[in-house]
Parts: sequence; structure tokens; C-alpha cells
Amino acid sequence: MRGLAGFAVLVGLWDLLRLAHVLPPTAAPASWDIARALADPSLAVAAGDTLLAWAGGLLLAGVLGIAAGILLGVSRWADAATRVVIDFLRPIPAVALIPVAVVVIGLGAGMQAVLVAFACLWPLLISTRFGVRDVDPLLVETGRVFGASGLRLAATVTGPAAVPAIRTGLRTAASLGLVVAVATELVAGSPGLGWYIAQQQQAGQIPAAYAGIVVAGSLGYVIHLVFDLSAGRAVSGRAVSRRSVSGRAFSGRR
Amino acid sequence: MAEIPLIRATALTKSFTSRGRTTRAIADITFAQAEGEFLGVVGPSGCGKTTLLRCLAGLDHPDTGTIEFDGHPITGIPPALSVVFQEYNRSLFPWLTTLENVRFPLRRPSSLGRRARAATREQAREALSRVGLADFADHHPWQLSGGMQQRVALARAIVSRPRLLLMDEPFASVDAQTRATLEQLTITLTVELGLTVLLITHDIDEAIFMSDRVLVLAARPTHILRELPIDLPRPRDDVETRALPLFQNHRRDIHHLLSPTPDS
Amino acid sequence: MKKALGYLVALLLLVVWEIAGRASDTGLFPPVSDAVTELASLLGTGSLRTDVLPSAGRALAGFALGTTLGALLGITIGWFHHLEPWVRPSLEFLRAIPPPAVLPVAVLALGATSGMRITVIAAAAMWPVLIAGVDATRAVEPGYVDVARISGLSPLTTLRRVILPAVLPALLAAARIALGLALIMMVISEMIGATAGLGYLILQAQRTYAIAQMYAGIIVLGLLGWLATALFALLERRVLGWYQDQKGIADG
Repeated sequence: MRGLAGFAVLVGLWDLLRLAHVLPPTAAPASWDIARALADPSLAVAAGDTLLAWAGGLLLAGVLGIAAGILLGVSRWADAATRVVIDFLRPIPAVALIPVAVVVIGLGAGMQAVLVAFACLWPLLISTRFGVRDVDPLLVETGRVFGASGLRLAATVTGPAAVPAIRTGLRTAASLGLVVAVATELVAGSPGLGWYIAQQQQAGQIPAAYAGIVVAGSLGYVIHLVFDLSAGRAVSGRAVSRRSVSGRAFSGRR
Repeated sequence: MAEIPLIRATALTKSFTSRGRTTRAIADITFAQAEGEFLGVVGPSGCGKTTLLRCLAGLDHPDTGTIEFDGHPITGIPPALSVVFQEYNRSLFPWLTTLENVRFPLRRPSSLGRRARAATREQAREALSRVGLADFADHHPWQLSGGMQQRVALARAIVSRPRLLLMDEPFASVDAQTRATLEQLTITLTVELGLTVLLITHDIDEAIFMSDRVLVLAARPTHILRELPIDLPRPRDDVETRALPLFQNHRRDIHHLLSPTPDS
Repeated sequence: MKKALGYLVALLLLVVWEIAGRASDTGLFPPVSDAVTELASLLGTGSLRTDVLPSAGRALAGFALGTTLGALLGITIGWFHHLEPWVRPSLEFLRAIPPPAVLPVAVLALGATSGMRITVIAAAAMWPVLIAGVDATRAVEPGYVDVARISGLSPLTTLRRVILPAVLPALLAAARIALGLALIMMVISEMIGATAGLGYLILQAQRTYAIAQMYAGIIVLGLLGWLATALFALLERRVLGWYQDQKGIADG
């Protein structure tokens, strides 16, 4: 409720600054014009396209990244062998590969999904590897004591214990994937929100361009909510006051 | 006893409201503590002892009643006051070395010259050696055992030579052996530095062993059940003092006060 | 031994690339030697000064600006915690906007200038740090603040000597994410309405079918990213040594 009020104030501020010519009125349309432009049916189609490329890329990265992450987490040799290559490839911003992907794969949703997957691969791979390696040795030993080994150990102990770390990676990947999906549309012109925004801006339909941004933001917000909730919202600011007295029972000492 | 008590609380009350429910923590507390006196405050867990300490320290405000420090009503945190909190791992800064932790309360504006700053470092070093940790100045708190960390907290509390030292269950998070050592150390420091200490604890033995006088608090909402002078001889010894019949009597008295049996 | 293995594998991949490049006649996979030759001539012809360094400078400026602003705002909002329920949903929404989406309007509002590019980089880098700042400040151990108050610290000194060090690990973790976003925004902002910069160079190479040059540009970008990450790790080690030691975090 207070959040909604805060949002309303934000919108009001936008219109106020615009009317006061602090924001250039040509580049900052009125909020009601943006709201009207949200009704454009082709906007929904564009959102669907973006979502599709995002989901495809994330799925691809999920399968590859988690599998590779488990391998690298379990096998020190595999980890050592790939380290240099990964260290070099990882910092390359996926958007730099847009031209390469256009040349090699050609325009289309497949190209876009591959780029999204490239971006999402690293957070997934790194956090999975970390999660697998960070599993409490006591858990693994317990598993061993009860006769689990090899694949069974991985499936019953190592895998489940690494899930929280994998979820963290998934959360990072999910929002990063959307960034790359939109960027690809912007540069390569694949159908989707990025392309929609660029088109509207070039056509002088500024409110429509902003409507595209709002929808992109909403998409990001929903993705964030879904992945955050599924991850159980780890240690965030909701810290309750921990100023409680320790629970030691009251007693005299012998 | 001196004419003007160092700290005097009169008719304190305090309640908390959360989610529309009001809990009374302090019903009515009035007491005074003289300079140089070691005052123990004992009561069951969760009875509002910590709330009382936070009010005395000026960290919280009582709903009604007044607190006077050295004859003047307090309007904030008295500068000549220091606190040892219960949980060292929540009160020592992990990013500072033990020396820097101890030095933390010493005023250190950048306007201070190099010599003055070196002096505060010396002061901190001295406090550290008083608690027997001179060799651990450059360690970080998390590299030390729980008992050692609480020693650091103790050093930090005495470094500014406070007139009143408030201790909130200071030894509740360490094992029994360490606890006895820390109790002895605290008594030694009290004598050496002439400290006035108010110790809050749920441990009856600890309160009797260390204090000149013990206030026994009732369960929440808390009030004073009994005020008990402890005329055990000093210096006190961990084994001898506890074996005295007088000690046992005090112990029995407080026990009965706090856990009344139906037929008593 | 294991370290050498990593380089060996990297070398092997380069050799495979070289052989495959020579064998293929599509022109899409020029051998790596061509890319390296191109890289050398690229840097030799002054592209380092006209494209690479300006790009890196903009990324650095935007990153520094954005993370600083994010830290300031985040800690402020977290400190005045009564504010949070009012602004949180708005912040979460603004944060969720994929930064590239605002590029077209940024060009419209600010023109295709360096300032615009630094602005969008900063805007992208700000959000992760801001949100982390809010959360971390709210989660600061209340006991720490009690100690500061007992020690007679003013609120401002408390912020500097207690809150800031306490939230720094969270801020730097978020800044790592911001670094990635800054690089993305650096490249993408140079692919729109630009006439210089790494992103422009790569896109232009593709459009003129100078494929070897395109790969050369990407290699430069990879090196730049690697350098940035390494420098960042160094910084982290310097200011967060205590934290890494405490948590037993090994380097790398």
C-alpha cells in the first residue's frame, strides 16, 4: 500500500519535473500518454518475443551451466584444465558477440537465445561449481558411511546440498538474460521489446517507446519476483531485531 | 555510603508495543548505586533485565520515571559510562584488530595530532595488557576464542576509565571454566581501577560472588523483589568464598525468592 | 602442474581454431593468426587511443559514478529505514528495467555523446549496489550501533566508522555484478549512434565483413574485461582482507 503511494509520488514527480521543463518535454512524455501507449497490442507481441528468447537462452544455459558446474566442482582436473579458457571467456560481455552471432548463426530467435545462453552460462556455472565444492564435507562423509558413492552420492548428497548456490546463480542469470535479450533486439533488430522501443523512438512515437520501457521493467520485475520467491529470499533486509536475551534457562550454578 | 549516589533510578516503567500488542517489561523500579559499589542485578531470563540496562545506559528511554547520573537527570548517554554487552560476536567489529577495537571509544578526531593519536594507541595497549591480551593486539576478534573475545570487550569498556561500567550477562556465552576466570579478572580490574560496576545476570552464584549488594528482580513485568547486602569478605576466592556458609545462605534465599514452591 | 594444464588446454583450443580457420573457406572463421595480426595492426594504427582507451575510460567513469551513487543512496535509504516501505517497490521496478532498453530515449534526450554513454553505464551500475546497500544497512548488527552510541559517536561518524565497514562486503559483491553490467553498457552504447569505441569497432567490422578485425576487437574486449576483474579482485583483497580471511575465501 505504502509502496503504491511511493510509486504514485514517483509518477507525479515525473510529470511535475516535465511541466517545469526540468526534464525536456520532447524526450519525457506525460505519464498519461505513456499509459495510453501501453494498450498497443503489438507491444504485447514484442514482450512475448523477448520472453521466448529469454526463456530459451536461460534453459540452454541452465542445462549446460549446471552440468558443467557439477563436473568442475567434482573434478579438480577438469577444473584446472578449463580455468584459463573460462577466465578469458567469462568477462567478455555477451553483447560484444552480437555481431559474431549475426554472422555465424544469422538473424533470428535462435541467435538471440544463444547470446542469452552465453551470458547466463557463467553465473550458473560458477555458482554451481562453488555450491558443489562448498558442500559440507561432513555431509559427504555421512553419505559415504551410509554406503553412497559415485553417482548416487552426487544425486542424494552433493546435488541437493548445492541447490541454494545454484538458485543464487539462477537468479543472477535470469535478470542478466533479460538484459542481453533486449540488447540483442536493439542492435540486431530481432523482434522483441528492444526492437520495439528503438522503432518507436525512430518513428517519433516517444510515449510508445516509454511504454516499451515500462513493459520491459515489468517483465524484469516479474522475473525477479518469481526467482526471488523460489529462492526463498535469503538474507535480505528483513532482519528482525535480534536484541533478544539468550535462551539459557535460569538456574544457579552448581 | 556516599551522599549523592552515582546512579539513581526512580519509579522506572517501560512497555513495548509491537503489532498492536503491548508488553510491559518494567513495572516499577527504584534503586540507587553508590560510587565504588559493585551491584548485582539478578532475575530470571527474559524478565526485562536487558531493558533496564538499556534504559540506564541511555540507549532506550523509560516510559516514566527518572534516571539521575551523578545527581543530574540523564538526557542521553552519559559520557562517563561504558557497557560490556552479552554477545561479543555482535559487539566487536570484525574488520578491526583487537587493538583497534579497544581503541574505538577513545575520541579520535582527525584534528588530533600524531602524538595524541599515538597516546590513544598506548592507552588501548595498556587496557589490552590488563586483560592479558597484550600479545594479541594485531589479531582480529574472530581469530580468538570466545573467552578472549569477551576480554577484548572488557578492555574496550575500561579503556576510557568510565565512572560506571554496565555489564549485561557478560559471561553467558562462554563455558563454565572460562567464566570463572573472567569473573575473577573482572573483580581484579574493579579493585585495580576503582570501578563502579552494575552487573546484570541470571546466574545467582555469579551475582553473589561478585557483588556488594544484589537486587533480585521478579519475572516480567519486572520489579525489585528484594535488596540483599552481600557481606562476604574480600578479596573473594573462587573456591573459598563459594564454600562459605554465608554464601550458601544467600544462594538459598535468592533461589527461594525466584522459584517459590507452592507450599513455601 | 595443474596450472600449466589450463594454459595447455587454452593453447590447444587456439591451435584447433587456427587449423579449422585455415581449413574453412566460408570466411566466417578466420584463423586465429589473422585475428592476432589484425589486433596488432589495430593497436598500431592508433585505435588504442581512439577506440580502446576512450571506451575503457567511459566504462570506468560510469562504473565509479554509478556505484558511488548507488552506495550513497542505498545506505541512506537503509539508514532511514522508515523510508524503505515507501520507496522499495519503485526501486525494485526501476532496477528491473533492462538498462539497454533506455538507450534509445537516452540518445534522444542527451544526444549521441560521451556524456550520454557514461550516464547509461552509471545508471546500469547503480542499481545492484543501491539495492544491496539498502539491504545490508538494514541488516547491520544492532549491537554495533549500540557500541557506537555508547562510545559517543555522532551519527555521521557512526556511518563512516561502523555502518560503512559493516556493509562493504555486500557493496563490493554487488559492485562485481555492476562491473559486468557496466561493460555490457559500454559495448552496447557504442553500437548505437557512435563513430568510435570498441563496440562501434566490432559492429563496424562485422558490417564491412572484416571478420578478422571483429574477432580482434572481441579479444581486446576479453583482455579488458579480464584486466578489470583482476583489478577489482585486487581492490577487494585490499579493503576486504579481513572479511575474506574470516570467511576463508581463497583467492580466485
